[in-house]
Amino acid sequence: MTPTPSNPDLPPVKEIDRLIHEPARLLIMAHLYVVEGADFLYLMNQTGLTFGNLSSHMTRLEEAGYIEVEKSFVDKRPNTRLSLTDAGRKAFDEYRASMKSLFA
Amino acid sequence: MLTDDVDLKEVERRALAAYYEDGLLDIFIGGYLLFFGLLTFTEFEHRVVVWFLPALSTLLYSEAKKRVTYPRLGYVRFTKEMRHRVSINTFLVLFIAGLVTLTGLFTNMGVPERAAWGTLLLNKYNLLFLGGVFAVTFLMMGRIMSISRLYQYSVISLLVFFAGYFYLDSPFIVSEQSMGAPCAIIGVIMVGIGASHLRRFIGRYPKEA
Repeated sequence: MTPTPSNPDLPPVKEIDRLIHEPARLLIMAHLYVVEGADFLYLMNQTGLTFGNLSSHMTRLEEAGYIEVEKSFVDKRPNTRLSLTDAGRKAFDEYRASMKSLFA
Repeated sequence: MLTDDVDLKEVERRALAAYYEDGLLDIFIGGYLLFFGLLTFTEFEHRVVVWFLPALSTLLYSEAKKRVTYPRLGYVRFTKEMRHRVSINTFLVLFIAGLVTLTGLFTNMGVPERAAWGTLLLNKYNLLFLGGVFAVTFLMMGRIMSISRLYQYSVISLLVFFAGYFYLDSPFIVSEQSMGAPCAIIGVIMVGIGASHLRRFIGRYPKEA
């Protein structure tokens, strides 16, 4: 069945941010949204994603400007800290609003 | 989670619960109560040390977090609002410590016959009063920090202090010790439960090579 694009009652599906809508990235965004910042290990444990998976999604979100990645050394060991940028926070708010309106 | 909205409250609750999953908080609070409880059975006179222990415990606690929790669970910096909640919790813990110490000193000093009725009442029912304060404090801490096991401590405190009130009033145990004994019992229980959580935490989150 094909949707009727001219129907005004149809929710704005096109407005949904597909970058955030992907389940793994949505998890990362949600976890970063409720905290000020977290490191790679914490996100791996909380989301259940593998190192490679998290790494690739992290890169995509960073390229979109949604997250900020800071690399440093803690006790002589590499440490990657992630935090949501203002743009990322705004995009996540908009994503939630559009999802809400979609199912309203 | 992928319904009409993302349940951020649940994500936040899980983040906090994971942070306290290590059982270190139980071990430190329990350890303090145990130390205080045992101190009432000794002849140690410099009891002012009890006042400094919470501050020392806070330092040791943050060091333990750095060494045990962060290398396994990872580092997380909570929002200002969440940190504020944790500060309230710290204040509550210090409040318990202060109250226990004050009541201990107060009971030890004895009460003059013409004291105010409130003073007499507090002196007579201090164990029931403390049981109530412990229970409410653990209840509040559990709610603030999303740690369900603190609710158990709330019930345990109430039971132990109430039992203490009815059974510890013997000529062999002076009033200060009848307050110290319930503290020590709660301390042992908390340290035990904390240690079992720590063991589970270390098994669940092995340190990366």
